Amino acid sequence: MGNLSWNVKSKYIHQLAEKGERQDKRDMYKYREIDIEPNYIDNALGSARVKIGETDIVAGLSFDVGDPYSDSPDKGVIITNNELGPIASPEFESGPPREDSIELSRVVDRGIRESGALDLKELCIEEREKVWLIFLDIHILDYNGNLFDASELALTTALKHGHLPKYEDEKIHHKEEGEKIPLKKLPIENTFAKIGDKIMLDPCLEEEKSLDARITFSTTEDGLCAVQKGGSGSFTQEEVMKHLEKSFDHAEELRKQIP
Amino acid sequence: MRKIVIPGEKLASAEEKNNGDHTFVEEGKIVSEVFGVLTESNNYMNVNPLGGRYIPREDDKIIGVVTSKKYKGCIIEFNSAYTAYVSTEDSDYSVGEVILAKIEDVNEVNEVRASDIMKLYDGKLVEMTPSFVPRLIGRKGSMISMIKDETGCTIFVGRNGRLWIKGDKEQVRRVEKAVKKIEEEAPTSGLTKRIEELLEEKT
Amino acid sequence: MTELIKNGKRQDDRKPEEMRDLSIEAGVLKRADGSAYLEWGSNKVIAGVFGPQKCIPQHISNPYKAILKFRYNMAPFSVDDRKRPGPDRRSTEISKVSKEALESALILRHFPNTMIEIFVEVLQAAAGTRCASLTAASVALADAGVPMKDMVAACAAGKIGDEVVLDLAKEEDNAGKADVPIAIKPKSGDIVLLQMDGDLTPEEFDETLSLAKEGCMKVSEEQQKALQEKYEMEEGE
Repeated sequence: MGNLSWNVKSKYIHQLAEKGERQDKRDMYKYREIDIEPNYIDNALGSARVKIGETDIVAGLSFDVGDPYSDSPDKGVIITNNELGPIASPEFESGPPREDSIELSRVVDRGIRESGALDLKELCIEEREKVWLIFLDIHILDYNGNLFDASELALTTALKHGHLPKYEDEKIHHKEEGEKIPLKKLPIENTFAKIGDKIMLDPCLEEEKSLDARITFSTTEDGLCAVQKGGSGSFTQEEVMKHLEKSFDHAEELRKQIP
Repeated sequence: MRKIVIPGEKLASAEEKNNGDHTFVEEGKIVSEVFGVLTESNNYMNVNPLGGRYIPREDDKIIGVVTSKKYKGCIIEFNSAYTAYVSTEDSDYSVGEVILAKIEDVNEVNEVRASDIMKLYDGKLVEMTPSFVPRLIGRKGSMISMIKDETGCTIFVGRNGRLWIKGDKEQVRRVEKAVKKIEEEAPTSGLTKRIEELLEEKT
Repeated sequence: MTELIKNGKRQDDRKPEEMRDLSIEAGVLKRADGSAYLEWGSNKVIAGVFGPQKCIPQHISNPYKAILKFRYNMAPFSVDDRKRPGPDRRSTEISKVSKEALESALILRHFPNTMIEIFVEVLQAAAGTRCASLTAASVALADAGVPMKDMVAACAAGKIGDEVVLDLAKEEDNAGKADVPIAIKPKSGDIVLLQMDGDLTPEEFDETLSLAKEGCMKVSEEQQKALQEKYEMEEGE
């Protein structure tokens, strides 16, 4: 769908927002229906499929053993990547990652990395020589708004239920379950969209295309660990702080839904 | 030095003055849109930009270069993000010809229709910052007349920041020097005098 | 670990609420429509703006307004460990959030079907490059005559040890607890860029935001000064 038809839809969404309404009749601070399925991929030692409304994401973990970074010789390494593949939307093309995809990876990664939810020291096999590398790969199946929250939920679920492969005699036995992945806390992201001067939780596709600005808060049970503002609009400091407070409650709500 | 303002700068109360060129009203205040020089006339606060690409306007004279021929007309580029369609009953055009044209119409997506005034030959095409063209022309054409008189050159001026200068090579160079000085010192006071002095130097 | 802050003084002798030295010069490049050179602490960045010009590729043009392209790029020699030339993921993210920060302030509807390109080159990096780049870009846009509702001024604040401080230097950014770069439209204080990573309580986050905003206001003064002074050198000649 071209530029101009989204423009037309956006006007409608803005009109609704002005009245405090959303096109799917949701409350301003309510998630769409959430479905979380851990261990979705049999081959993988950690995976999950998450749906928020019609947004559908699969996250999978892959493992390797390699050199640590020189500035953290006793810590494992996590690498986050996602694919906004053409299957998920008529706007996505195959090819090198676009800026949306890169932003998504980096924001989702921060939620996990900055929170210290994964104890990277426990992923050290031999200091300076060998550490676990965990690849967190997010595969978008159906893009219908709010990839941040769904991706983070999928990764957290995959990590919670995941296992490292067995490592014996310098070989990785990819099919055999080794130790549980050292996940100490459950990182969650909550994204709010600002449309006109109304702010709402969990934008669906039309809302995301119409929004003026968005803000994502990454938190764990212990508190705040990352924030990302996106979109061409702006927030006041009061709006930022008010929605930070709200995100703590909504994060708890999501945590409870992880099996 | 004339008063220089920056984007977002508050100029006056909207109750006391009217908002003119390159300004807008926000919360009862007249605000500048651009980096420019503040002027006031008839109770209107105006800002003359100190830079910026040319935006086509009806009745402006522009100097353009033919990029393609059309039936009874041609398309010209005029150093802008946009092109103009020049229609004419009789003339024939070749790609690369230089035309002095007048803008007849600009629509909401800045598509331009222009009429042909004349073709320009035997001269040098010089470009300058479009927003300084009025300064080059001067009040009632005083500045451009002075430059023409002192150098003996024929000068056509396009509001799009293009000049067509015809004359002795040395004199053309002097015109260019004067134009450059105007660009560098546009908002300063006493510029007219300094240009006079520059032109009086016989080098 | 050496103490980042001792007796109210930081490693570079600054007070917690003190910014590094900042200087900006407008109109430094000949070929660009607008430009600015900026030094902030040891950061050196240069911004160039082209446009509004014909939109390439044409199919991304918008009949209602100009589209913006922002390219943040670090020169290979700008950092200690040579940075491989070309966009990396960090640069792409910074480019995106910077472009979005500016879109809020620019009046783009005057130029349908065009594009405005902003290029910022980081020549020397010393923490806070995204704030330096965005600050320079805003001056370059004004210099290029692009209409804006307000300038965009950026500054970061963060937490080192237990203290909330303004404008983290390199060592502070590496060893500190949190970093919050922001950009605002100075007239309204509206936040157009906001990123955070690290460990802050909501109260500390609020305090950091307020401090960063104060920093942005100081930055805004420097931006104004740079533009005002562009033609001042000509006086008295």
